[in-house]
Amino acid sequence: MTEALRTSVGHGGYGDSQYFGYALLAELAGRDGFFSVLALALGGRRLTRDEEALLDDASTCALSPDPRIWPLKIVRLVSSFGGTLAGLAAGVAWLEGARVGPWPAGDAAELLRELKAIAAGEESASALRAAVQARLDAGARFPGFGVPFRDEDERVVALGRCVDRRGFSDGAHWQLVIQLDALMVEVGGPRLNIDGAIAAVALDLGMAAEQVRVLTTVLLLNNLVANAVEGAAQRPGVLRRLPQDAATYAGPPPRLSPRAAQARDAAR
Amino acid sequence: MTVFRGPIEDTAWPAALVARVSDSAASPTLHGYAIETDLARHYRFGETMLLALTGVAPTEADGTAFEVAMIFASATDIRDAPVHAAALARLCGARPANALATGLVGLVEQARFEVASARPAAGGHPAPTEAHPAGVDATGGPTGAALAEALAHRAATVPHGLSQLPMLHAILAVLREVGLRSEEQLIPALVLARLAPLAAEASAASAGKLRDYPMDVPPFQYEPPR
Repeated sequence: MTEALRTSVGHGGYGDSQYFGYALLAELAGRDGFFSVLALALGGRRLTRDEEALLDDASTCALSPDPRIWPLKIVRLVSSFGGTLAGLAAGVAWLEGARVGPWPAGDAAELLRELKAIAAGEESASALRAAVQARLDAGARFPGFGVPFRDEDERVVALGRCVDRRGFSDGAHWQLVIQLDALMVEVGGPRLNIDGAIAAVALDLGMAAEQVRVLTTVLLLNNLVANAVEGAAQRPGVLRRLPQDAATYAGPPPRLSPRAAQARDAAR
Repeated sequence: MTVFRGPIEDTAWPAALVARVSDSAASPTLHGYAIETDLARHYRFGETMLLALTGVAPTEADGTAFEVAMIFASATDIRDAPVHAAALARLCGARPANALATGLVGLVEQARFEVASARPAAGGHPAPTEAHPAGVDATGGPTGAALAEALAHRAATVPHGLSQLPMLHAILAVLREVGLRSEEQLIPALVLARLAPLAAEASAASAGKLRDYPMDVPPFQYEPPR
């Protein structure tokens, strides 16, 4: 007999469902919003309304919807055949483990936890500076830092205003990223980006790195949804097949296969 | 009309994509070989897929070994998660193409999992002739004996020790033997082998017959978090 798989996610009963230990309709509906229910889905705790509002702000600040941006172009390419959710699925399918997109926010969370431990010790400022400099000198990656094509990530600035307004600016990890970003300016290192800022917010809400990866993916979903919806509606032929001059060929030159060469020689 | 400017407009970018394998500027080619006038006349479909993955026109022996291994790799049924998922999507009323898309994601995940699981414990890939990757032990499942016999029947090279390996390891050993070494090569080969059988099983599912689906197979037990 097959042993039953254990699940904490849910059970469908009569009149209500169980969801991570709560009666979904009786206890959560009307009290917990999207982000609190998401936090439970990630294996975390319920969020307060203020915490939910902060994540709501983060989801808006994190948007960068230009369809030319690499991950969103993927959505546009696949949705160009008319499938909205196929475009959305294609936009999500590659994200797990990728160096671009929301996944590195989890790496940023791991780095922040590591640096927070250093910053918590004696002479924290100098220890943090030394740790950052050592990473820079070693050429190590700084997940959550790095802002291409511009001096600072405007989304971080906007999120910072929201963090202040919502009263979360005292969070230990938020304070750390502010300190790190100032340090980066000083030493000429990579600036804080939206992945690092979201990681700090999520860590201050008690989330772990693995939870941060999925949370950030969900926060950025509207980028994908908007492009999938418009892309599928437009079905542009130019994306389904680019014009001939939109690609050049740099592979092996034209050649004859061994069997074709053998057939040619035999015919002579 | 407002003109918006941003980093994309103000940065220099390449003017075109770069293709490195296939081209169709004149007549379509694959790694430089003309598809219509060369490959279609002198190579079987399986051999052409092997060429696509390796960049090398296969020998008759390698082509045959690849095709035999691919036939063995095609063995999948509704107990396997990708086929199950595709058939279930169809049962839920998915359009055939969307059910196939679901199954395709599952096939890629299955192949990724299998290739990673079968990776030699010491890291890296075994030499092509090494049929006993480190870390492989008996699983109680079928071994590669039938694969060895089929290869011998087709007069293809049988890697040493193939019969003693678990079937998946034996299939991967043959695929490595014919030049597929990296996960970028092995995963698409496994997916290619199983795609048509998956599509056929999904197509055979009756759309909308939800009551015919065994909801509690396998059983789940709800346990609230402590």
